[in-house]
Amino acid sequence: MSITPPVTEDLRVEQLAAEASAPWWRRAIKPLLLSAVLLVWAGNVLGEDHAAIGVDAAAVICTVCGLHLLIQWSGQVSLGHMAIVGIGGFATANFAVEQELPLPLALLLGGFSATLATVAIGLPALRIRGFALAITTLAAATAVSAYLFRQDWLAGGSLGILIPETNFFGWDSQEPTDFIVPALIVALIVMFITTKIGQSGVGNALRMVANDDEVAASYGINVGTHRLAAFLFSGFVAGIGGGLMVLDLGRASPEMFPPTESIVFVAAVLMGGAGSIRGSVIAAVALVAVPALLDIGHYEELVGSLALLLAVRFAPGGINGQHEHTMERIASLKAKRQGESK
Amino acid sequence: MSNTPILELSDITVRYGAVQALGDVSLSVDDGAFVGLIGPNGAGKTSLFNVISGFTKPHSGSTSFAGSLMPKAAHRRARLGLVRTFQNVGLNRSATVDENLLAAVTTGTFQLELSELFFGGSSQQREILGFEQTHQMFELSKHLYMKVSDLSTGVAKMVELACAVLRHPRLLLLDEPSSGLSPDETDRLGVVLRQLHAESDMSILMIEHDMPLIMRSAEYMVCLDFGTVIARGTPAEVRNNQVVIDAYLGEG
Repeated sequence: MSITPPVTEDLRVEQLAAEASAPWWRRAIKPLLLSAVLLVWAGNVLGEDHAAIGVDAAAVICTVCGLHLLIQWSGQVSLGHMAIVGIGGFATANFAVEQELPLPLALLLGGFSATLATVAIGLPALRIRGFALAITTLAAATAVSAYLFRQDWLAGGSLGILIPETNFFGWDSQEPTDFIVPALIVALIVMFITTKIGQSGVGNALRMVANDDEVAASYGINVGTHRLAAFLFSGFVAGIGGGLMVLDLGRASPEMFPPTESIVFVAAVLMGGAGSIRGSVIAAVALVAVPALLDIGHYEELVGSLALLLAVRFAPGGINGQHEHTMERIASLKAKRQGESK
Repeated sequence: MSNTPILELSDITVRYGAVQALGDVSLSVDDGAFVGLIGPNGAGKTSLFNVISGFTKPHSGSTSFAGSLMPKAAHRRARLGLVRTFQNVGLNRSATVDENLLAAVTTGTFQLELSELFFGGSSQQREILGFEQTHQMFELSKHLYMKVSDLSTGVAKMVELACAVLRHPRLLLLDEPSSGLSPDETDRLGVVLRQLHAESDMSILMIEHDMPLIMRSAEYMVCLDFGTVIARGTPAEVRNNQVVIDAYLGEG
């Protein structure tokens, strides 16, 4: 009668052990194939409107990966990441227009500029945590939007910055059907690096820090450095996300980066759930694509908030939690069937 | 090994406001020794551990490790080979046993943490790190993919001990390893601890309330009461010391 639970346990353990013991190149085949299919499909099939949504999604994926590392792994929070995205965007535009650098290089430097800006937010994180940190990041972001984004040297005055250059490694950066390919490649690289960090000792250390400061320190982990490093990484990829948005539109202006929309990034990470970045990436794509496809005008902003409320109420484990739950159900059904056939 | 003690505390005083938690405590652990630390609740045993770990800064006194003064930051002390366990289990409860073991061996310095950026989590890595023996020694094979929060206290404490041993301690600080364990589990713990001490050159300093366990394991004992050392000596000497009987053991 009640033989199912232990069998389920064994099957699941076997599954996990098999996953862990596969050589790295075998584990790489599936994601590589999926990425290739995605790129070919996005570059050839998508029309103008859908490609534009895809580029937006790629930009948000970059930001959300960093925020996933910050929130789910390092146990910190930032409610002001749109400001970082904006700094990355404006810096990219400035490097492209003022310094006349090639766009890919401008994008990279935009990411580094955002990293520097994150130091200002990350340093308080060495002293405070939880609620106080959340409010501090919100205050910092509001200050950045209210002050920095009005400075001509950064934001280029009331019209913003127009980017005449469009050559991005041979792709046209202002033609969504063209730019979707490099934008997705950037997003995939960010996803790859974030995943690798999560699986490495750095990821383990970040989770130790999130779990308990004293235990982490007793492991030899420099708690402050790790907390700051998590902020810096999230700042870098958020800056890259901002740069992608700016290159795609061909201009940078303050209203592209409303500080209140930071909440959408946080919503994606909370809906994604603890564990791998998979859930957060799915949530990010959904939060970009659903409002855009539904064409509901002013109610766009409602989608993210509503989705978050529903997720917290009905699936507190987020998308990852639901996935895990489903896998266990499948394993238990399999076990049941095996038990019956004997 | 040399005659330099692995750990030497001299005249440690700790105050919390007007309350003195430790007063001029001196203690040394010889290299390779197994020292037991006993005393009633509130005697300052865990405070002393927190001073050694670097979590609590003493008002006066010095701590040195293998002959040289210890650095201030806790993580730097840990990197010297000072490994400790916690009374309420210092593990990541939302992670699995396997994830906790991996975390124990892959963290500590950025260099180590980055070294397996591309091969993290692979089976080769687990083999190299000697996971097999650890699983056997601590009887963890059955529980590898269970979350720590789903384990009994006894198993969780074994996992914590396994994590500690995987980090190759020179000095292992154990804070009440037997609390929450059944008598059988306590016996098993004693066997594992004695085996560890016999087979490696690590030194152990253990806080413990279970007298049979500590009497059989420790070679030397120190008894604290009200933040001061009231007795020290071999287990037999301490057990028969009238001051210790009055303060802690009671008649029986």
